[in-house]
Parts: sequence; C-alpha cells; structure tokens
Amino acid sequence: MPAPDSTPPFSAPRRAPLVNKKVSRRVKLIDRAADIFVRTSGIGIVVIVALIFVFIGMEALPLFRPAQQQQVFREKMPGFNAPEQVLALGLDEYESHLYYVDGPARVVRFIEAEDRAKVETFSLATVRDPAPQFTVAYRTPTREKIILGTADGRLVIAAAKFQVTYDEHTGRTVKPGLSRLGQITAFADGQPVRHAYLRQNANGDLIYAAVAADGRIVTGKFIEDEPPEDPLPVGGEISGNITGLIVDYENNRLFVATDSRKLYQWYLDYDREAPFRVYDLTSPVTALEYLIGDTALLMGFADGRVESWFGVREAEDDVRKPIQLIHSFQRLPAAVTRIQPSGRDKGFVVGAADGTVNLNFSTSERTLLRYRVDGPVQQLAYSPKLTALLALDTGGRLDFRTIDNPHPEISFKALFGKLHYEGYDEPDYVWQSTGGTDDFEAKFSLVPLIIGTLKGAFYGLLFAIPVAVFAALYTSQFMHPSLRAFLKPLIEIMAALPSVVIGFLAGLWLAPLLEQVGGRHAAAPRRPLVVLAGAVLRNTRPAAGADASQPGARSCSSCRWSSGSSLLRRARPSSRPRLRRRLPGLAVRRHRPAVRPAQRHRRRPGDGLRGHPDHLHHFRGRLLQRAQVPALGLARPRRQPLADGDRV
Amino acid sequence: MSHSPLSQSTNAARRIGQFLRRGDQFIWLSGGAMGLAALLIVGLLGLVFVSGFTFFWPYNVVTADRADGTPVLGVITNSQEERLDPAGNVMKAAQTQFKVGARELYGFDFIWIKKAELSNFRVDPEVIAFERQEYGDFYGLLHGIEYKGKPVADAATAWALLQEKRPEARDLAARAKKIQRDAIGEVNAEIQRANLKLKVARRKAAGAALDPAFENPLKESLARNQARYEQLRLEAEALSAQAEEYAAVVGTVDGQRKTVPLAAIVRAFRPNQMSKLEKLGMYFSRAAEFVYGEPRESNTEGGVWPAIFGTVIMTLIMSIVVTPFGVVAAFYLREYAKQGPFVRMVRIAINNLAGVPSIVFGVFGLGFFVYFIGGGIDRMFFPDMLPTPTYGTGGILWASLTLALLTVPVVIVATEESIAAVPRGTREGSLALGASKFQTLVNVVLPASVPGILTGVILAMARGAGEVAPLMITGVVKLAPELPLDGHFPFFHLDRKFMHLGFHIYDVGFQSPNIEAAKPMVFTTTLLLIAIVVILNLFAIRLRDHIRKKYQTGAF
Amino acid sequence: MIPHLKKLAIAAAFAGCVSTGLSQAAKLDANLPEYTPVSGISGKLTSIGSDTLNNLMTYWAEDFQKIYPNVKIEVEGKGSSTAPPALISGTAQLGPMSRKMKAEEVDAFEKKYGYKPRMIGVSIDALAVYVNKDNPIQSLTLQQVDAIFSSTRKRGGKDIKTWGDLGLTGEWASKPLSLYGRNSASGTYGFFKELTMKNGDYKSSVKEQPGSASVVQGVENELGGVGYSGIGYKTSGVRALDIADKAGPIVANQANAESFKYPIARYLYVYINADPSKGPDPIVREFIRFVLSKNGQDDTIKDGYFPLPAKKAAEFLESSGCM
Repeated sequence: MPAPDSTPPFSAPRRAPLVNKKVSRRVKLIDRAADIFVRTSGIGIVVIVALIFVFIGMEALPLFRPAQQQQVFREKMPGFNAPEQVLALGLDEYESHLYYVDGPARVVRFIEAEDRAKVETFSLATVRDPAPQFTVAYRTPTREKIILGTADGRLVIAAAKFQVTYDEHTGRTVKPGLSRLGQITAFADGQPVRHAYLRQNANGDLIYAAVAADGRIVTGKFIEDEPPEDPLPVGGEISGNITGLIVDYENNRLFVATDSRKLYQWYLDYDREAPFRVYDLTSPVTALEYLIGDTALLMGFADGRVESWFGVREAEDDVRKPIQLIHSFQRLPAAVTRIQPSGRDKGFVVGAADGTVNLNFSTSERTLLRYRVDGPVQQLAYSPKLTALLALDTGGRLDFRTIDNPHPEISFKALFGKLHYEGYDEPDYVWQSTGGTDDFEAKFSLVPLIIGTLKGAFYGLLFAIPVAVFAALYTSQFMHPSLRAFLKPLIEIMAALPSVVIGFLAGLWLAPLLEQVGGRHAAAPRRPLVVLAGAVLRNTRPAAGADASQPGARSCSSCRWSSGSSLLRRARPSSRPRLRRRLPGLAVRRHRPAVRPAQRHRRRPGDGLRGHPDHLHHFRGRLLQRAQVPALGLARPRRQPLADGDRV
Repeated sequence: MSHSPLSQSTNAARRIGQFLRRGDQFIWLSGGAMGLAALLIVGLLGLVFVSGFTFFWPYNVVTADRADGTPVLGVITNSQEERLDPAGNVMKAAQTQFKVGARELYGFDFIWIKKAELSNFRVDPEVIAFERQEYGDFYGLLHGIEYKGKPVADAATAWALLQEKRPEARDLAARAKKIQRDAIGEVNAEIQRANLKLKVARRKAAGAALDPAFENPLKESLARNQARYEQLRLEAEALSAQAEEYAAVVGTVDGQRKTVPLAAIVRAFRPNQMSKLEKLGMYFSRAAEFVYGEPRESNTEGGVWPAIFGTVIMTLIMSIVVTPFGVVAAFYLREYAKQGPFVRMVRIAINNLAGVPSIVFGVFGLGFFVYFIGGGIDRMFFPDMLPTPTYGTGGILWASLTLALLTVPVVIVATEESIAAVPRGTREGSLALGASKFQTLVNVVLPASVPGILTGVILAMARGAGEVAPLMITGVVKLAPELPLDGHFPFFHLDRKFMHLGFHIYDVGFQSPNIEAAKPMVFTTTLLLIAIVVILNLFAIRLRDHIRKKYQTGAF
Repeated sequence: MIPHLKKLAIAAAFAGCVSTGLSQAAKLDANLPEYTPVSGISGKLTSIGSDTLNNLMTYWAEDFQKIYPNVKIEVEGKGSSTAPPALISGTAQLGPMSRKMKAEEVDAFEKKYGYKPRMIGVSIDALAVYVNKDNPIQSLTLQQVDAIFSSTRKRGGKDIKTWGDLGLTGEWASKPLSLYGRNSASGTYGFFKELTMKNGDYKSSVKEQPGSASVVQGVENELGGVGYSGIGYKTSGVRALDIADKAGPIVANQANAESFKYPIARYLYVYINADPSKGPDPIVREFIRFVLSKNGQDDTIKDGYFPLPAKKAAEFLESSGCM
C-alpha cells in the first residue's frame, strides 16, 4: 500500500482564530486527548497486526538454531578394569541410568546417572545355565534389547527393563531391571561367537545374526515366549576376517564387512548360499551399522571416512538393489571405532580412535556436533530421546553430555536442495513431511510447494485476469447504470461465497463433471482445470475491477481482501491487484469520451462531498493527467503509488 | 454498378478495419467477459440452489423385482446409462441407485443395481417411510403396533393407531428431554457453583478446617440439589420409558422384521399416497426442522440451528471488534502518523497480511489468544477449574478475535481510502471555520467516509463468515452441546465452543461416513450459509446506501 | 498375480459385480458388558483428534449425554496429529487417534506431566482400497497396492500407472489410475504408508483429501479412481477390494479385521491423560467405560466400523485404569 499523494495529511493551523477562550481550551484539550488516543491505539493496533509476523518469525527461527551440547560429567566408570570387559553400553530414556554389559563378570551393571556410586548388578547367568563366558554383546538402538555371544557358540537374548513409578510428590522413580528372554545355540560345535547383531520388527520379533570365530555366519528369528527356531547358516566364500555384520529386521538383507576391504551383500530370502553382490572398498570397514529403518548402511573406515550407502534399483522392477555411496560425512582424524545410530531419527553418532565424537544427520549430510573425549572411543550410547550422549573411552572414562538438537533435519540444503533420500533411485526434490513411524525419513524440500503454488496461481490467473479485467471494463464503461446497480451487489456478494463452498463444489461436482466431459483423455489436464475453475470462481469479481476503473470509487482495493480463500489461496499472489489496477489506465484513456465525467460522478458511491466544483476540477485534472500515462500504465514509474489508480 | 467480389471483399476488410479501429472488438470482448463472469456466478448459485432445494421433498418409494426374484424397495436417487469402450466392451453398465434405508439391517443406505436385472417397477400405496431418530430412514411395510411388547394392532389398523399414538410418544420424549436439558441443567449449574465455592475455600484454607457457618449451607445445598437431580433423572427416565411403550412392527420388503419405538420416529408417512399438496407441506415442515432443529446422528440428520446461531454470533462479535480497531488504525495511519518510510512499511505489512494463509492466522490465534491470553486468564481468574481449561481452550471469543485480526486489514484499507477520498477543500473549509482537527475529523471526515468504512466492514464480514480453516483450531466443533447464548447466568458464554455452517459443510461434506445420505444436506447447508452471508451483506449495503444518501443531500 | 488367475478374478468380478445380495451389518460380541451408570458424574469433556474417529466420538458423546444429561462433551476432529498437542496443553481430556502416538509425541507429553498418556483401543477399522463400482478389478496384492500409491516401491515390482498394468483389458488398459488419499495430518495417511508401502513415500500424484469421505467421493465420481479410506466410509458408488497375501485374497470383513488376517486392519484409539497415582478423572473413566461397553460398541457398528471382541475390550479397560 503506497503512500498517498492526493490528500496529504493535514494538520490544524497552529494559530486558529480564537473566538471564545473557554471553549477553545476545551476544544484544544479534546483535540489533544484525541490525538494521544488515536496515536496510541493506532500504534497498538498496528503492533498487534505486526505481531503475527513476529509470531511466524518466532516459530520459524528455532528451526535454524544449531545443536547445543553440554558436558554433565566426565569420570572413571565404576567397575571398569580393561577395555575388552565392556561389551555394550546403554542409556535409558529418562537418562536416569546408564548400563553396560560386563563380559567377564557375566553381569549387566546399572549406574545411576545422578549418583554414580549407586550401582545395581544383574547377573546374566542362570541356575540352569551357570556360566557362559561372554565374548560379544550388541544393544539395539531402540527398546533396549541386548544380544550376547558366548565363548561356547551360544547366543543369549536379554532386555534391560526400566520400571517407572510415578508419585505426585516425589515425581518419577525409575527402577532398572534385566530379563533374560532366552538363548539360542548358534554354533553347535561350541565355537566362540565373534560378532552378533540384533534387530526388532514391528511385531516385536527379534532378528539376529552372528559370526563364529571360524567365519561361519548364521541368522535367525527369535520370538519371545516361543521355543526358539534353529538359526540358519548363510553360505558364500568370504575373504579376510569379519569386522562387522548387520541384518535387517526382515531377516533378508545381510551385509558383512571384512578387513580385506570387502563388503558382501546377501538377499537371504532369495539366496542364502551366495552373496548377491560383493563390493571392493578402498579402506577396511571398522564400524558397520544400519541407520534406523534398516535401509541405509553406515560405514566407518580405518582411514576415518564415514559414509552412508543404500540400494538403488538397476532396472525398474528390481527388488534386489545393489548399494552405492550416497552420503559422505565429515571425515574423522583417525580410524572410526564406533557408530551408534539414533533410535528415532536419521541421525547417528560416530567415535574415532583419537577420541573425536561427531553427531551427524544422514539426510542433510550435516555434522551437527563435534567434540573430543580423552581417549579412543570404545563405546557410545545415544539416549532414546536423543537428548544425551554417552561415550566411553578405552581408559574407562565416561563422558556424559546433554544435547539440545530439536531440528536436525532442517538445513538450507534440505529445504531447497536436491537430496538423495532413502529408497529413491536418484536425488530429487520431495516434500513428504510425515510418516507413520519414527523411522520415516522426513523430506522437507520446499521446491515442490513453491512450484505448485506458482502453478496454481498461474492457471488461476490465466483465466481470472482477462475475465475479471474485461468484465470490469464492461461494467464500468459500457453497462447501463441500472443493470450495474443490480450486478455490482450480486458480485460483491459472490466475494463473500465461503471458500469451503468453492472447495466442495470444485472437488465434488466440477472435477467429476470435467471427467465425464473429457472422457478418457481428461485425466491429465483435469487438475489444472479444476484449480483454474476454482480460481475463476474465487477471483472473478468484476465489481472489484469495476471499482478500480471507475474513478473515485473506494471499495476497490478493499475488494481484494475479501478474496480470502484458504483452499485456493495459491491462486492469488499479492501482485494480482496491481496487475488489475494497471490495466484500467488504458480503459480510462481510450474510452473516456464514452462516459461523461459528470455522469459518472453522479452515481459514484459516497461522493456527497465531491459535488464541490473545486473538487470536480481537481478530479478532471487528475483524470487528464492519468490519460497521458503511457499505454497500459505499465511504464509508469515504479515508485508512483499504485493505490492512486483506485482513486484517480 | 454491381459490386465485384473483389470490391466486396475490400469493403468487408474496410469494415473490419473500421471495426477494429473503433475498438468495438474490445467492447464485445469485455461484454463477453462480463457475461461469462455473470454466468459463472449465476450458474454456481443455481447449482447450489437446485441441489440443495430438492433435499426435503418426499419422493415416492418404488418397489421393483430383481433378477433373482427378491424385491427391492426404495427411493430412486440416481441412475446411469451404459457406456461402451471403442471396442464395444461394457465400461459402465446401465444402473439405478436406490436408497433402501434400514442401515442397521443392511449395513448400507444406498445400492446400485443393474437396470437389466430390474423389472416390474411399481408404487405400492401401503409402503411407509419413517424418518427415525437413529439409523436414518426406513422404508418398508407396517405390520402392526406393539404396546409393551404385546401386539395391539395388526397391519390393517396399525397406521391409524400409529398416527394417534406417535405424537403422544414424541411428546413424552420431548418432555423427558426438556427435563434433562432445562431442569437438570439448572440443578447441575448450582451443584457446580457450590462445588467450586467449596474448592476455592478449601484451597484458601490450605488444609485447615472450614468455617462450618460457611461450609454447612453449601453442603446442604449440594445434598438438596443432588437429591433433586436424582428425582429429576428418575422423572425423565420414567417419561422416556413411557415414551418407548408403543412400538411399530415394521418389515423390509425382503422380509426382515424390526420394531421401532414410536418415540424414535420423527416423521411417519406414506409417500406413495400423498398428494402434491401434502408433499409440499411435508417439504416445508422438513425445511423448518432443518433450520430450527438440533443436529442428529453426528450432524448428518436433523437441523443446523446451533450452526446458524454460531455463525451469526461469531460474525457479529467479529464485526463489533474489527470496526473500531480498523477505523482507529486507519485514522492514525492517514491523519495522525507522519507520512514517511515507516508508515509506508506499515501499509506494505498490512497489505501483505492478506497473503498470509488464513490457517496461519488460526495457528497464531491458537498460540496467542488461546494459549497465551486464554491460559493467562485461566491462571488468574479460574485457577480452581484447572486443569480443565475455561478460556485456555478454543472458544467463540478467540475464534472471533482471530477472524477480526484476519479481516482488520480490509477495514483499515477501506477506511483509509474513504478518508483519502474526502476532498481537501472540505477539510480546509472546516478548519478555516475554526474547527479543531479532531472536530473536523469527527464532524466532517468521518461522516463522509462512513459508506467506505461500511464497505470495508461488509467485506470483512463476508470474508469472516466464510472462513473455516482458522476457526477449526480456535474453537469450532463438530458438536457443541450448548449455544454460546442461553438463559443461564452470565447469558453470554464467550468461552464456549460453537458450531459453524462453514465447518459443518466441511465436516459433513468431507468426513461424514454416510456421505451419500448427507450430501444433499451439504448443498442445503451451503445455500443457508450463502443466504446468511447475503442477508448480513444486504443489511450492510442498505445501511451504506442509506448513509450515503443522507450525506449526499446534506453536504451542500 | 499370475495372469490366468487375474483373468479368473476379473471374470468373477464381472459375474458378482453389483448384483451381490444385501449383506449384513457387523455383529456385537454378546459378552461385552452392559454399561451401568454411576452417580455424581457431571462436567465438561473435550475431545480433540482424529477425524476418522470424529463421527464415532460424536455418536458416543450423544449417547453418553443421554445417560448423563449434565455432562457436556465437545468434539473436535482435525486429524490424529492434533490429539497429542491438545492433550499436552490440557485443552482436551480425550485424544482420539487412528494411529498410535509416535515416540516424539509421547515424549512431549511425558515432558509436561512426567508420565505417559494412556492408550485405549476403542474400535477396529479395516482400511480399504476403494475403486469405482464399475471397475471390474476384484483384488490387489500388497505389492500392487505399494506400486500403485508409492513412488519408492519398497515392496518391489514395476510402477503401476494404468489399469492395464493391473491386468484390465479394453479401454481400461490405457486408463490411468487416478489416486486419492488423505492429508498428512491424518492417522490414516501414516498408517497406510507404514503398512502397505513399508514407510515409503506417496507419489506426488496422490490427491490428498481433507477427509475420508471425500476420498470415497473422489473414487465414486471418477471411473479410474482408486483411494484408501476406512471401511466405515464405504458407499454404494465404490467397491472395497480384497487384499491378497500369500494365502490369497482376504475380504475386509469383521472376522478378518478382528483376527488381523486382513493386512491393513487397525485399532482406533483414544488417548487419555491419567495421573498414575490418582487414576483418570471420574468423568473420563465413565466415558471410557461406556465406550468399551455393549452400548458404546454398538455405535461403532452404526459408524461402519467393527466392534471390539469382549476379551480385547476387557483388556483395554484394565490397562486404561478405568475399571
């Protein structure tokens, strides 16, 4: 809304003739009070109106706030003797307890986070099964399930349980516990287990994979409270020592990495006997994990590289997809020792042999946090609510930090860039903000939304502008006044037609109608047509234009406010009124002789005060001035107030 | 000399040239555009009108035999012709849609049947149609009447008895409902008031014993009211039970039987025996029920009175708020503020507010009005009701304020423009006569700009009444148990949630499970909403014209 | 599906298309308890959440208010995603949801109150894939459903763009599929995404509708339309397809939904805020008791959903603490 120039604000002359001093003082006082009142309330209202922008800004800004971390404590872990002793590390969702699997002692120790001296120990051994020596352990990123491998070829599955009691006065109390869910004989010949991996699917069934010391691989499914099924062996020639293996929650996609720089990929449902693909890598994999969702692989290499890979179709109907490098993350200064994926989003933590810890986010390839601990990172735990990080170095020092990272998925690149999302065959602009579960990769590209908005606006305007402008010209210049008097209110009322009605009709009546008319070929262009038609209904308000091209009318620019439709708002960028207003310049110039100013003046709304000859003169002058504006008025200097056109 | 073809064609070209030079083509073009625009608008209104207006007509109920011999009974609601693909295969078979009613027996209301399978169409005069309190319509045959489970009339006499007893049963049910609503509502309000007083006192006493002189009367009143409540409840239950005593035994055309309490029958009629005049009467009675009635069956049946009421009240509150705000802001911007970059920026900001999607206003309203201001009010004035929020949840006040915020730019812009249109000479004349700035504004500028302001308010109201998205999160509900205005103190309940016609359309049109039955109702509601907006608008337009005339003659 | 099987299915579809007899509505489990009113229940209840459950909540509200005239219930339904914020801010006591709360939502609740919200299953819904009534197709496999709606096709298979890709012949073969779905605030949207497309993404050509009924109407009005929605929204103009798994096509009926043999069946939930040390408010408790009683479950049938089996209702009643 440009500044006015037709009637600049006036101010009362300082020295008004004083007729009656008493009266004038009162008048002055009132004048003064009114001045203050209007100013304060005016500013107040403007501020309230402006608040909405403040509000939008306040809501949007935190999205771009970087992640924060704060160290809570760093100290020696109770009961720590040697690095090999700690097989797995965990943290409960309330961050009240941290726990670790103590292999040689065959126990799980729960340490209270507030008071580290309080340690509760639960034995993994049972009476019936006294002493398996544990060699490996793995904890799932969600739901605190643990798999342990023994020196005699067995797998034990356990779960850390945290019982929460709530009291109005004392608040929440968390009591840790451990339950042994069962055990599986993975290698009947008693070979020690070298690696074990565990997943849980939506039904709660557990999928495991394990490697024996001699390199044999088995996978299987474990269902709680049911007799365990025997694990099935996986076949295939493997070179080198296995450094990592992962299997997805469907017991289908199995990956094995070796120190001879090889990565093997199986589709177990298709072929258990041989790998589907073998990949040559430039450096041995030292840490291998699945990102949540079990689609993308996270690999940490001996040279400090961190990469995520996932499958991309080669042919359109491929079910088995060979993997390729998708994202590379900030390189670590030393060999990657540990990767800990988040249980809730596409973030993960990596630790290196020099003590560097990075928090990365997969979708946007960003490193959100980076800090160092005292020694080589041996174990990592990322709290289920993603608000705390726990690192254990080989010297047995625990490093506990709280993390504030509410919007890891938002970055400039995520909003406007082309990203390669999981499951896609190539990078793309995608908006898909929500999924049914936590392992969904949210896609926030604004590009499709922007294009869609412009498209909707374009189709709408394509039709609405000519119809509205020409109808307005006709109404203002050629139509009989009596007909106009009838049509104008009708159209004003149309402006009031609720947007929901337009949406309802466009969706439920117009769309099927167009389909029937267009028959089989209608499907493609139909949507634009519906948008277009909706926009037309919404925007074709010649009355607005009629006002604009009718000199002296007032309601014109307010008309555009009324066109608020939430459903079809896209079809209405703020530039429309300008376009509309520019065109009448032509109309007035060309057809001015058709209507005599005085005649027009007579039926102008709200012009009681304009009968003044002076004003009429002024009005004519401005009309003539306008008539000299170059064709279409488009060449008018930009800075000239556009609202002017409304009044002429 | 006769015109040669050549000269004829040059003549035509010249005429075309003339036509073009005169610019007539633009007149035709613009006239055509006007026609198209008018056609669109009239067509749209016509469509809504036609689709909405047939909703209440009691159509004949048709019986037909299907190929397997089973009869089908219902109102024919739609049909489609056969469509073949180019190769001659059937894409769409010719079919007829029946509304068969009796949803609880069949699991559906409507059914499409192939025309080829249907034969022997007939109109059985004995067929009855019930409009029921629950489960929608029923079409079938009346087999008898039961009184407390015992048959008291057979098929021959049942209709007369039904006619006699149904109004009685309906009356009993209505009385029971009245007790529940009014008398129990009153008792309940008192119980709540007493409980609240006790709660406040207990909180203030902080564990200490309460003054018996204060506590005992309250407790007594509580006990008294509790007893009264029990008594009223029993009374209502007795009435309800009595209303249910008579029941109609009805059967579907394929032989399933069912008893329907007479009190649950809103309307019973034999459409096939009704004359056009009777049908017209039924039509108006249904239309009246639609306007004045309460919604039933999760809003897919009954009336929309609460929604009409909510729409009007909300629009009025919004207008009352938005007018002074918009006018004062416009006067400030135009007459008091120093014109400069700041004011220009403010104008741009206000203009751009129109580009903010209305749902954002809703979110703002939720965050600012409901959570911030409403939550603050609750903590300050209603701490005893917490955690149940009073103003800290959506309500008609917050919805109206949100809409006022949404529409305030309309009024600001319209007012500004109409102030600007007041000629300088008039103001200068006023000032020259010794009037102060304020006097000039109030006595000269404001009256002259009232029509413009009203135009702004009209447009604001029009937009406000039709907006749905921001309301959905600031206080509109599918079903509001109480109106925002009633006979209980303090009469105006600004904290209550309300129903709204726009949302009703959205909800029934897009979310109703029995959409086929509800769709005509959507059109009818649309018609009603347009009518309300038109009435509000016409009122304001008339007012504007009136004022305009007044000042037109009075100015000079 | 194997080609000849496909043909058979189509033939069967033509034969049994529109002319199948009038079916029966769902049946209540006779063991469901009758609701017994208690005294002293009054006050206000606000429900904000799922639009799938919006009508059902309204039915329950209407019936509950018949039992307790001095209870006022306000029902709002804008989508499942609106339930958690409303429960957290205290603007609602009941949060109907057509999916389970996500961990983030539970967290946000827990952050404010210190305990988790309670989840109560209130009804069973079978999500159906609808086609126009004149469409001859009879059943789809999950893989086909995935390939129809998903751009990621996590279940494999070729992209399905026309009805010919599903084995239809004649003009159908070249007819493109016109996809209808729900908007992302809806629990149905997330649930369907998770179950049929393994959390893949919808194609951008899916027309996102503001309500389940408008999905059905879209399909009803367009010959080539296909969309998903709750079984309660079925109209005469659409047909719910059988969903085939390894054992063959499965009909979306009460028995299959109850046993969850039908692969896209789900519970509908109501979440409540109940302090574990105090239990739910009496009015909320009674409402839940009512919903899980015979009287309440009867309304689920009225709304087109399936009632809970008595055993399940008792389980939910116990876990909700509303006994």
